[in-house]
Amino acid sequence: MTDAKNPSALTRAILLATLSFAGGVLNGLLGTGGGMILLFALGYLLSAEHAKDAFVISSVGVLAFSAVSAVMYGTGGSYDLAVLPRFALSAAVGGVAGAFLFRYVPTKWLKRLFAALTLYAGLRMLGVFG
Amino acid sequence: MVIVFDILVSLVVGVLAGLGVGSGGLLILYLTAADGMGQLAAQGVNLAVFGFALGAAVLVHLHRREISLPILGFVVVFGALGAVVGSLLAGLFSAEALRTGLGFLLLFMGTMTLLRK
Repeated sequence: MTDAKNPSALTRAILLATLSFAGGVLNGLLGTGGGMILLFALGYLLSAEHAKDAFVISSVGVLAFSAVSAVMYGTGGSYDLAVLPRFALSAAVGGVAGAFLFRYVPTKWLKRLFAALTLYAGLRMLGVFG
Repeated sequence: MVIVFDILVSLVVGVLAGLGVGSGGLLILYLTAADGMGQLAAQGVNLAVFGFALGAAVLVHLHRREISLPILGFVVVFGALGAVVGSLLAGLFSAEALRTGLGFLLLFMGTMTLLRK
């Protein structure tokens, strides 16, 4: 499934390692955003017919970033572990539902949904809506 | 009532994670605005909740699709190393700086997604 568009194996490995590391740094620093870097890298490395694989590989990567960072934030006392149960179960149920819906939602709608969410959240973060 | 919204927002974030689009920082926004949580704490909770959502979703995805293990290995190993560095750096910045950085990052991500074919 991993046909490269054109770069050599070494170039692909270096690019993937570098951008995975950068995605991890960003995710750990800001609590989100690492997946976008991974999707960009995988979009360059994988051929068009494997576009949906990029979403899955990115999800596995973000799972690794998030798990490592969540443990480090938690052990550093940044948040109270006691708040997690009321979020975690429904998030896991939603994750399974989303994974089942994945094959039925066209890629272009996934991208539009993602763009709308990120633009709204970005403007809110910058105080545009007060 | 707050706990009902907590559950609903987590469910939506979980579905978006399962779809592979991420959540656009939706949970961080909710936690800081509605739950009154600090920026760094909200980032930590977002990371943990995302871990649960993605853990469940990835089990379904990997059961259905054959993904290259070498690529996964690269992404996980180098990404985890980066996550350690990023998490250590997070404590060095103010909440306002993190919030502003995240805001611009989200705008960039959303714009690039709309512009890319």
